[in-house]
Amino acid sequence: MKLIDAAIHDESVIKKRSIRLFCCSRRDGAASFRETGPIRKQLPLWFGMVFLLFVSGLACAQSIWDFQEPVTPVARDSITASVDFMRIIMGIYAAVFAIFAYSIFKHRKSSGARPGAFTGPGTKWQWALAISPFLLLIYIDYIWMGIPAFHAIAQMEDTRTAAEMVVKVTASQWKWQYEYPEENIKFVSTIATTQDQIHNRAAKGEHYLQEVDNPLILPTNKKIRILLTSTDVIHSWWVPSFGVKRDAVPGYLREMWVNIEKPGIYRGQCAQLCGSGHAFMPIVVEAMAEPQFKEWLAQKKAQGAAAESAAGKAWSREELMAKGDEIYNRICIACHQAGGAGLPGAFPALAGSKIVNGPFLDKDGRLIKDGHLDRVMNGKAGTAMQAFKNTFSDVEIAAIVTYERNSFGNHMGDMVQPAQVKALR
Amino acid sequence: MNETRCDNHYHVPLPSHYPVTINLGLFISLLGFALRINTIASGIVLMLAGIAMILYGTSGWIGKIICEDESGNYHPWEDRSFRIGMAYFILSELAFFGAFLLALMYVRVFALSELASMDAHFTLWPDFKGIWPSGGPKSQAFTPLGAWGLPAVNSILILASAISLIWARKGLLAANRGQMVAGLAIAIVLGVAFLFQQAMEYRHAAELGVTLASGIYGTNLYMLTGVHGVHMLAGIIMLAVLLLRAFHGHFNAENRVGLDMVTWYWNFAVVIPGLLVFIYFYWL
Amino acid sequence: MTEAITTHDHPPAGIMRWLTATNHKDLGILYMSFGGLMFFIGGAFIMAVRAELLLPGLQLLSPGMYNQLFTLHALIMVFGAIMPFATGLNNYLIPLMIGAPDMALPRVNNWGFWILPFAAVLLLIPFFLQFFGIGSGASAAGWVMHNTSLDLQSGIGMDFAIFTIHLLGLSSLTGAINVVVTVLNMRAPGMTLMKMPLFVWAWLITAFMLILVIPVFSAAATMLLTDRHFGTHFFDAANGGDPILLQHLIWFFGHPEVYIVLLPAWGLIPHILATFSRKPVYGYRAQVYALWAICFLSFLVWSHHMLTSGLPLAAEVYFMYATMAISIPTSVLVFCWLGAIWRGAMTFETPMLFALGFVAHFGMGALTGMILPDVAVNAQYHNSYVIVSHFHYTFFGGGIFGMMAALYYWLPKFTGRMFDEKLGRLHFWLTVIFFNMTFIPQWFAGLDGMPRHIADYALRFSAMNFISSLGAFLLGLSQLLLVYIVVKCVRNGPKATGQVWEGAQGLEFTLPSPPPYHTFETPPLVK
Ligand code: HEA
Ligand code: HEA
Ligand code: HEC
Ligand code: CUA
Ligand SMILES: [Cu+2]
Repeated sequence: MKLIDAAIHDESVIKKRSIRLFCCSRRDGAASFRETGPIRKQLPLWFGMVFLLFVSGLACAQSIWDFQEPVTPVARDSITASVDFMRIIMGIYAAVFAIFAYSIFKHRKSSGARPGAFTGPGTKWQWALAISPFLLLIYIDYIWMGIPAFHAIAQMEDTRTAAEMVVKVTASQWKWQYEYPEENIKFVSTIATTQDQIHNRAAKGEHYLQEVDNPLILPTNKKIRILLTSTDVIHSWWVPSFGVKRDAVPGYLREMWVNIEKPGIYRGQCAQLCGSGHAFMPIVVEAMAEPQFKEWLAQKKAQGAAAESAAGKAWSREELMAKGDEIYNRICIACHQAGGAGLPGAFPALAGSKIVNGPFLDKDGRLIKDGHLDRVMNGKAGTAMQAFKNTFSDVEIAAIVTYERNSFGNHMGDMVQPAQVKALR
Repeated sequence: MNETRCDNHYHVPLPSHYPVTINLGLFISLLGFALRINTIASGIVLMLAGIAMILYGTSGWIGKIICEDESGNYHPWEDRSFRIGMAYFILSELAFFGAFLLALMYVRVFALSELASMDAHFTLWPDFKGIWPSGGPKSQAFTPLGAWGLPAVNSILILASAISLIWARKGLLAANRGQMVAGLAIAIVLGVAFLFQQAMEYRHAAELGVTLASGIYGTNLYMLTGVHGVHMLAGIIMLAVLLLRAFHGHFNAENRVGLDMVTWYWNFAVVIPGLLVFIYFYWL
Repeated sequence: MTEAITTHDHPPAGIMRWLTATNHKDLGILYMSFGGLMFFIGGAFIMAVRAELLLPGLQLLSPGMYNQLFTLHALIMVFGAIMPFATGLNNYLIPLMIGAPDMALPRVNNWGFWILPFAAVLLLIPFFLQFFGIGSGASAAGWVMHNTSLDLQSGIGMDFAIFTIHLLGLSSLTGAINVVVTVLNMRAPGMTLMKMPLFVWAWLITAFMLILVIPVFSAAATMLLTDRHFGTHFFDAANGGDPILLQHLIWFFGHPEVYIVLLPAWGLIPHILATFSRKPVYGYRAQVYALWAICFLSFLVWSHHMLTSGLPLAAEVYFMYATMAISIPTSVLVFCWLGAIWRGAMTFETPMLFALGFVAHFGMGALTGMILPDVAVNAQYHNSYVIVSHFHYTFFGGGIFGMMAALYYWLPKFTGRMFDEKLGRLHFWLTVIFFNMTFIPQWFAGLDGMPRHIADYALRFSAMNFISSLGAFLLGLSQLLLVYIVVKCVRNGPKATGQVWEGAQGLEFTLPSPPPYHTFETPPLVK
């Protein structure tokens, strides 16, 4: 697939390939081309040529049969299966349709063919000919490709044997939360591409739509068991280089495993239609050697501790507003749109919203049901508005609520402190 | 296969406006329903108007068929069409019920046990046992319904109604009109009694805490019996029409396709699913 | 009463003729026209989608609108275009082919057709309402609505889609029952089952499948409705339900559905191949048994659409092997088509070209289908553009090519006039070229990791999408030629003979073109 990658930067690659594609088919078809007469009579021949064009064109294009570079055992299995199977079906296609093309060419009325009157295989020899493809098909399906597939599946589904590490992935619209249960680390990963790039107001970066703020960091050469679940709708975690795709089903746990053999950055995205942000739910995994990974873990834990203490301190309005602005444009904007305008019918506007411009704590300091803070912390069941207390830190919740109450033309003038949020959890 | 034809002319009916009327009614009532459940209360008006049209259309259509039947348009050849049509319609009804029964089976066999047996360290629903009857990890508590009270009685009722229909048909074949009328009437009474008991059963269930809020258990109870009840109601209406026709002296041993079709419908699309619900929901 | 003055030979005039039609030919024409119209509407929706995908970035559509468009595209194409068109063909042709005076249940027939326009309107109402600020638009959850919770949180459009499904289900069911009854009860004397034309066989089997799976789809939609509005918990894990249950129900319908779409085409291709090869149908019995085998197997393989949803190992293995088994009866069909043209005396009129095009493209779609159930690699294919490419090769390369072949083949029979052969061929070649230009690149985009259902994509997929979009526009434009050809044919095509094609066989070609309003009132005797 490097070819395609290159093609974006260098259009000539594409041209070159298509020229190659053409040459092949020319050579096959040209000889017989000359023998035929007026245009009308050539039609069947053209037909045959189109077949040849498919087949030879695809054969030339072999280099783009591949998936993205495989870096796990499962991915290597799948690419082998794919390439083998593609060869087989192209072989079948070429063989079967060569016969078709031959017949179309040979048995034309215009070339004086006489119609036969047979309605089925007659001789023993013909019966054998008629049966043999089925034997071949059975052989292909259940032996040639079937047996390796069985082994591959058994290996793919064996998520637990010798697994050295567990990562839990929780999907929600439209972000991924990654958790290292043994290390007590948890963070959310969302798309990093800006709205300006998406709406063509800024130049698109190299990893347009496939970049995130917090990539999942994994060690190499370790069997890692990945647990999946979801908080709202079904999502699907897919990184082509790992050869795994598995649905995250709300209320259920699904599992899969990876063992990444090569350090590097691998990109994928959500592969299950999950609402309007489905295209904007990328996955980025950074695989690094064990020592670096350990280092990263330590660093992340230190950060966690810092955040913990940050929740204790009193934040100023400006600090909260700045942080809130950043969060809004990263997460909430997907639904509530720029400027809090919302999408009529689907997502309510926050500008001028009754909830945002209403009280959020009662006089005893408890959450008002369906108040602003309650809506953000607990979401609303059955709608796309999810409970952000599961994924956001105290600081983040405080920041976003403060921000919304004082932006988009809302002038509540009040604020929430992280410490308050902490107490309300 | 073709020897049953009494002559070579198949009755091809004249153009009719009833089907379109029914469709318009369906459209309007569904539109109204969709609006109604989406907080537009006035949708109910559309819904009722649509239902009225459907009723008008169906009764007109059926009335017309009865007229044609009685004026001798239908011969064994046409009868066969109706019979085959009804048989395949019943097949589709069974598939419809089958979907609900399989959903129940799926929940009992797969979903609950999976919810209960996730990896111990990461389970999403700690303390959930997943043993049927259960409403799922977060449902309200309830006492499951027993099989040997009303449900068993109800099953006997519908079995009896099936038998009485068969008996009614026997009466017709033996040219015993009294037996036919009696059989039909008994079946109707049994059917109505069933529905009444079902309503009592719902009240009883609510007392035991079985509501829709009691998760998948309540869901299955009300959906299965509800879907069955609707078919029952339709069946009772059909039986009532038969009874009326019987009073008017319709049907005889040769010309009885209406009676046969309703009997099939009742026995296969109402009674058998009802028994299956009893066996698989209440009993096992 | 209109009925008093209406006799069999004089249908009511004007609009009432169509509204109250019970004549199978009238209804056949209605069905087919409706199907044709919907093909263009469904196509117009997807043109907007392809325009959005022409370049990376969001240019025309919001992501929510994008999702609505492809959902509507698929629902309209499958349930509005192909299925009604095929039903129209059966309405018109089955009575002619088996020597019956009409369909067995003519009023039910009318009922089945006139549900469709209402269903289409119901489906589209929320789509248009959103432009007036009412509701959040049409259903945007994909054509089979397989992501439960997404359905649950969707707006008013989902309810309309659910009711549409109920209506469409009713229509398909009545149509199917009618076919079964007609075929079982209305055959002319001497027309035994094993003498029936293959098209009739294929429709009998299709009807049988419809009767068994349509109710399951309706049941699933009903559960969704009650979960959304009446507090049931079929698909809610916290209350003991399972989102995957919906997928099981829906794919139990959905997989047979793809064969329901294709079976009528499989049935009519042998007619066309035989006609233009001037040979009898090849392997008649084998094809009948193969069709039954496909029907039977199709009920047993639904979970190959959910191989990444985390099924148990045993289920994955079973569904893989069971699915692969379908390749065997299907290849029987392919070889019978080959046998049909082998040592024939072929000419290449437009219907023949489309029939051969069908074989070529369906072959690609089917062979690509053969590799999808391999669980070892399905994880890479699933929900990627590989799938989109696969099923357009079967749906368009199979279904639509088949319907086009049928249209060109029987159009002179229906209208009594010939179409412009030159333009027909041009239409064929344009369709072939641009169809492949649209869907081959999608295969490679999929292999490279492009998921489906996305309104915007990463830059590595740009080249393929650009080609594909251009192909799609040109494909769409070339379909306008079809409209022109049909209109021209109906308006002032040269008169067609009853035989129409030199090699045509079958009862319908013993009648004049167009056939009289009533045919076979006394059944013909079939030897
Ligand atoms: C008309 C439509 C149609 C047809 C006919 C088929 C035919 C087949 N399809 Fe396809 N399929 C779809 C429409 C169709 N499909 C659609 C719409 C989807 C996506 C739905 C969605 O997700 O929205 C889909 C998705 C789909 C999947 C799910 C992929 C995924 O989402 O992960 C799978 C997986 O197994 C599959 C498999 C098959 C198979 C095995 C066949 C088999 O029937 C093919 C059998 C035929 C052959 C194998 C070839 C015939 C033989 C020869 C040409 C000769 C051979 C000769 C020799 C051996 C000598 N299909
Ligand atoms: C019978 C079924 C059928 C048919 C015929 C088609 C025909 C076409 N389909 Fe369709 N498609 C589906 C069934 C079908 N599709 C299904 C089931 C899905 C899955 C949906 C889901 O995931 O839920 C799908 C999804 C789907 C997608 C994927 C969307 C996504 O996942 O994001 C795409 C993308 O390219 C696509 C493209 C096309 C194109 C270009 C055509 C073309 O062949 C159409 C050609 C016809 C016309 C264009 C109409 C004629 C011309 C005019 C109206 C004149 C105007 C013309 C111009 C302005 C140029 N289809
Ligand atoms: C996946 C889409 C989505 C995302 C992301 C999202 N929301 Fe919402 N939000 C909704 C929906 C849908 C509603 C309407 C819920 C209802 O029906 O009452 C809503 C409602 C609200 C309301 C109540 C507004 C009103 O007037 O009814 C507030 C406040 C709110 N969201 C805040 C936020 C904040 C803060 C964030 C980001 C941290 C956010 N939302 C992210 C979908 C989303
Ligand atoms: Cu999450 Cu798509
Ligand atoms: Cu399938």
